[in-house]
Amino acid sequence: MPATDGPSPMRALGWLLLGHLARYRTAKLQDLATATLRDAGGRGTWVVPTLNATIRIRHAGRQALYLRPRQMISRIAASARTGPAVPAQQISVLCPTRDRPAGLYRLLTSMARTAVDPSRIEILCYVDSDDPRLAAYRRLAASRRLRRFARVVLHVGPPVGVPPAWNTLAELATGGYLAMANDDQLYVDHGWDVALDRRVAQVAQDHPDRVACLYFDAGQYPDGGCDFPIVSRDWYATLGYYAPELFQQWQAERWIFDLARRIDRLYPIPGIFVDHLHYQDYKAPFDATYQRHRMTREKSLADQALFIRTAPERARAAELLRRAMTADPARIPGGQPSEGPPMAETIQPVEPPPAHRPAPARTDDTGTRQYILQTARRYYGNLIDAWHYGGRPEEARACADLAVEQGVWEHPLQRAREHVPGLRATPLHDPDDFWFVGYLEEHYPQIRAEIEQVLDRPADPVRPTTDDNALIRRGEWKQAHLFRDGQWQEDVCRHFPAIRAILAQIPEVTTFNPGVITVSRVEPGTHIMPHCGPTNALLRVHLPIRIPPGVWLRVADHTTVWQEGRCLVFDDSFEHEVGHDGTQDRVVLILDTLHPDLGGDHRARLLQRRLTTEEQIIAFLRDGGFTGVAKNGDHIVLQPEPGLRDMIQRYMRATGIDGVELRGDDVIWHRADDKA
Amino acid sequence: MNGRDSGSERYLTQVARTNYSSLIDTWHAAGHTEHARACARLAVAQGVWTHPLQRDRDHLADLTADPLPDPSRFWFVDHLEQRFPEIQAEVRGVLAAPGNPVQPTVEDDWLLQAGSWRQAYLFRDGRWQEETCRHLPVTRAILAEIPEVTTFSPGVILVSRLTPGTRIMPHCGSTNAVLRIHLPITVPSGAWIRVADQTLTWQEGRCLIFDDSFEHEVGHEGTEDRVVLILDIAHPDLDPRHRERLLANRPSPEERILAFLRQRGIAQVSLRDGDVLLTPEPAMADLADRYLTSAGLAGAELDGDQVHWRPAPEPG
Repeated sequence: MPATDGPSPMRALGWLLLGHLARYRTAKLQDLATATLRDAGGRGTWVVPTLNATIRIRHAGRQALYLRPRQMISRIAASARTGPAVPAQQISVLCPTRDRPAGLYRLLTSMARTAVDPSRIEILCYVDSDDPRLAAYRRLAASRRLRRFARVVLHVGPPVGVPPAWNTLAELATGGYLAMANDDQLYVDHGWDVALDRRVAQVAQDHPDRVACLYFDAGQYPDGGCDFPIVSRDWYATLGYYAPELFQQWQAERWIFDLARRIDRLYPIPGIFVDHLHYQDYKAPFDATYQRHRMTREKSLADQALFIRTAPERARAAELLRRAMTADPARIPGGQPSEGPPMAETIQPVEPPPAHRPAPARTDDTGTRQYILQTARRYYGNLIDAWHYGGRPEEARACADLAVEQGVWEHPLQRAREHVPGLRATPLHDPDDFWFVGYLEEHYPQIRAEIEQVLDRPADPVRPTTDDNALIRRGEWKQAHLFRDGQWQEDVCRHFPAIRAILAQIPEVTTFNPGVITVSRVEPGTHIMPHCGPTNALLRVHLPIRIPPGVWLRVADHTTVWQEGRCLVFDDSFEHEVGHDGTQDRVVLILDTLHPDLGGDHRARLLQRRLTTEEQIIAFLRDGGFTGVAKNGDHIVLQPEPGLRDMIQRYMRATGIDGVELRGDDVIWHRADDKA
Repeated sequence: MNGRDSGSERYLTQVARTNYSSLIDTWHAAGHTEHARACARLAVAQGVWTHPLQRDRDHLADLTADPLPDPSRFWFVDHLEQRFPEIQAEVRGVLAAPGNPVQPTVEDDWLLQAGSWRQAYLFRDGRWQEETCRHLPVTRAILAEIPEVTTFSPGVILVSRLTPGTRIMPHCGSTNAVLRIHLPITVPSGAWIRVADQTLTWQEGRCLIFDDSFEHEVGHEGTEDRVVLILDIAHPDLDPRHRERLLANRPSPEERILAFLRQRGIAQVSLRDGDVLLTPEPAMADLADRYLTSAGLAGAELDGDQVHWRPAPEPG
C-alpha cells in the first residue's frame, strides 16, 4: 500500500479528483484514498478535506437537480395512485451505525417522510459502546421528528462489527419483515412501505409460506446487482440468523441474495429508489467509518475465497429454507431452472425430510426431556469418570451401557454432556476433508519454530493448568490458550505473533471456532485418564509440534501415535485417553473447529459463546435458589430467594455472626462483636 | 504422588453413591421409575450398596436392615402414646394461633413434586431451638424425658405439615444409622407413605418407626392438612463407638452454614443493614463479571421462566 512512498500530495489530489468520473473509480484509487486518509497526520493533511469539499458540492448539486425533484414527483404520483387495499406489514429496519449520527438522522427522516404509514415501522439501531458520538445518538433517538415511527430503539453494545450487529438487532425485531439499512442510505421515492405491502401481497398469492427476500429496485442496478435485502420473519426464523458472521466485510448481503436465488424467492420491489450515498461512488465524503470498514485487497480476496468455499454451507442453508416452503403448485418438475448454481450435487443429506420424522412432542415437554437428559448425562458422566479414576474400567463400561440402554447416549464410548443428534459420529476424521489442514501443514515449520522459541523462556506462557486437573492421574499438563470464548487471548498471543497471523487466515478455527486454540505440553509419565469432551458439535485438530517416543492417544477403540507436522482430527466427545511413557515433553497445538455436519441453530448457539455463558450463569442462579445477579462496584453479588434469605438470616442470628468468607479450604468468620 | 491412594476404595464408593443417588433422584423426579430401578440394580451389582431400595450415602455395615422396625422394641413409644392427647392439643392449638412457627420452608424442597410443606424444628444439631420451643412448652417437657430423642438424638424433632395434593418423590435418607419416628397428630384420609415395598397409612396417636435410608415416598390425596411430629433416634444396633461419632458429628450451626455455602456455590455471606449480601465462588464470579462487562450489563433477574438482563448505566 502506498503509505509512505506514495505520490506527492498534489498528485494524490489530482488522482482522487479524477474519481468524480466513474471510469476512474478503481480499486487502486480506493487504496490511494485509504493511504491518504491513514496518513492524516502526515504531509497531505489537506488532501482529504479538499476532496471531501468537492464531493459535498457534487452531492448538493445532485440533491437539487435530481433527488429533490424525484422526491416531489414520486409524492404526487403516489397520491394519484390507487390500487386494491392490501394488508399492511409490520416492518423492522435494522441499522448498525458508527460515528455518523447525522447520516442516521438523514436516513430516518427520509424514511419517515417518504413512508405512507410510519407507525407500523420500527427502527432498530446498533451503536458501539465506544462510539465517540454516543450522546448525539441518544439525543437523536429521542428526536420528535422520529416519533412517527412505532419505536426507535438504540441498542448500545460492544463493537462487534456489522454482521453481528445486524443479528443482534434482528433478535430485538418484532416486525414481519426485516429490512437491512445503513446510515449512508437515503430513501427518495414516496410510498416505499405501501410498495412493499403490494409486492408481499403479490408474492403471497403464489407462495402462502412467506419465505421471501425482497429489495428496492428503481433500475439503479443495470448489471443485475441488488443490495439491502429485506427478508420475511419466516426466513429469519428458519435460518436462525440474519447475516452470516464469518466474513470480514460485505459478503453478508451477497450470501443472503445467493440463498434467495437458490430457492427462487428473490423479489425486486420495482420503482422505489433508495440511494446509497457511498464514498466509493463519490456520493459521500471519505470519513473514519469508511476507513474502519475499508477492505484491503487481501482481506477482500480472502472473503471472496471464503464465499466460494462456503457454497456447501449456502446450499445447506437454502435447503433449510426450502423445507420451510410449502409445496409450490406453480412449480413443474423439470420446468424452468432457477438462476443459481445447480444444487443437487452440492447438497449433502442432513436429516430426513420432516414428513418422515415422528411427531414432535410439545415444546415444553421437549424442554423438560432435554433437561432430564442433561442432568442424567451429568451424573452418569461423573460416575463413569469416577470408575475410570478408580481404575475400574469395566464398571465404567457397565454404567455407559446402561446409559445407552436408557437413551441417555447413543454410543457407550461417545458420552458428551451436550449431544447434538444427527451428526456423523466417527472417532477419527479424515484430515483431507478439511481444506485448512494442508495450509497448517505447509506452515508447520514456522509454527514449530515459534513455539520452540517460546517454551522454557522466562515468560513462557505455557504453564501448568488447573482447568482439567481432575483428568490427570499423574504427571503434569501445561497449557496456554491463544484463543478462547470467541476471542484472541492477547497476553498469550503476543508471544506467538507468527502463529496468530497464520491461524487468522483460517476462519474455521477462529471466527467459526466454538472452542479454543491451545498449546498443550505433557511431561513424561503423565496419564490423562479416559474422558469425553463436553460436546459432539466440535472436532479437535491436533498439530503435533514435538513428539518424543512413548506417547500415545486412544480415541474410542483406536490407539494412535502423533506424527510431527501431520494433523490429526478427532471427535473428542468419544472417550479418549493420553499416555506418555517416554522421556521428553510432548507438545501439540490444539485447535477446535465446528463439526462439519452442524447446521442452523446449533451452529449459531455454539458460536455465540455468550449464550452458553449466559446459560451457565442462569443455571447457577436456578440451582442455588437465587433470583438475580448483579455487578456491585467490583463485586458480583447474588440475590437470594426470600425463603433462602430468611434461612440465612436465621442461621446467622443463631450463631451471632455478621459474615463468612470461604477462601479455598480456609474460612474467615466475621462476628458481630469483632467490630468494636 | 497421589494422596488419594489411601482409602481410595472408600472414596470411590462414596463418589459412586453420591452420583448414583443424584442420578436415581433425577429419574424419580422425571417419573422414570424403571430407569431409577435399573440404576439401583447396577449399583448393587457393582457393590455400591447391598440392597437396591436402601441407598444411603453414609452406610454402616452390620446394622439390622429392616424398613419398618417393630415399635414395641422401644420403651418410649408407650410413653409418647400415653402423653399423646396433651401433645396433640398443644400442636393443634399452635397451628391455629397467630405466630404459628410452622412455616413454609425451602429446605429439601427439591423432594416436592407437588404441593408444599411447612415445618418447625423443636430440636436440631443437638440443641433445642428456643424460638420454636416457646410455642410448645408441654411437648418439649414431655420429650425432654426421653434421652433417646434429645440428648442422644443424632437428628431432629420437628412438626411437619403437608397440604393436600402434596407428593414427595421416592428418596432415601442420608444414613442407616438413624431411625425415624412419626407421631401422627392429624391424619385425614387420603394420606399415605410407602417405605421400601410397603405402603402404609398413619393412625393418629400411634407411633410409626421406619428406617429412612430405605426408599420412601409420601402422597396426600385428601382434602385437609396432614400433621406429624417427627423424631429421630440412633439405630439400636449402633455400637457405642459409632454412636459417639455420630453424635459428635452433629454439625454446629457454623458447620451447617459452611456446608450450605459450599453446596450453593457461595464464597461469601455478609449481613449489611439487615440485608443478606452473597458473593458467588470465584469461578462463577469471574464468569459473571467477564460476561456482564463484555455485554454491557449491570445484572440479571429471574422472573419465572424469564430472565431480565439489566443494561449497565451509561459511563460518564
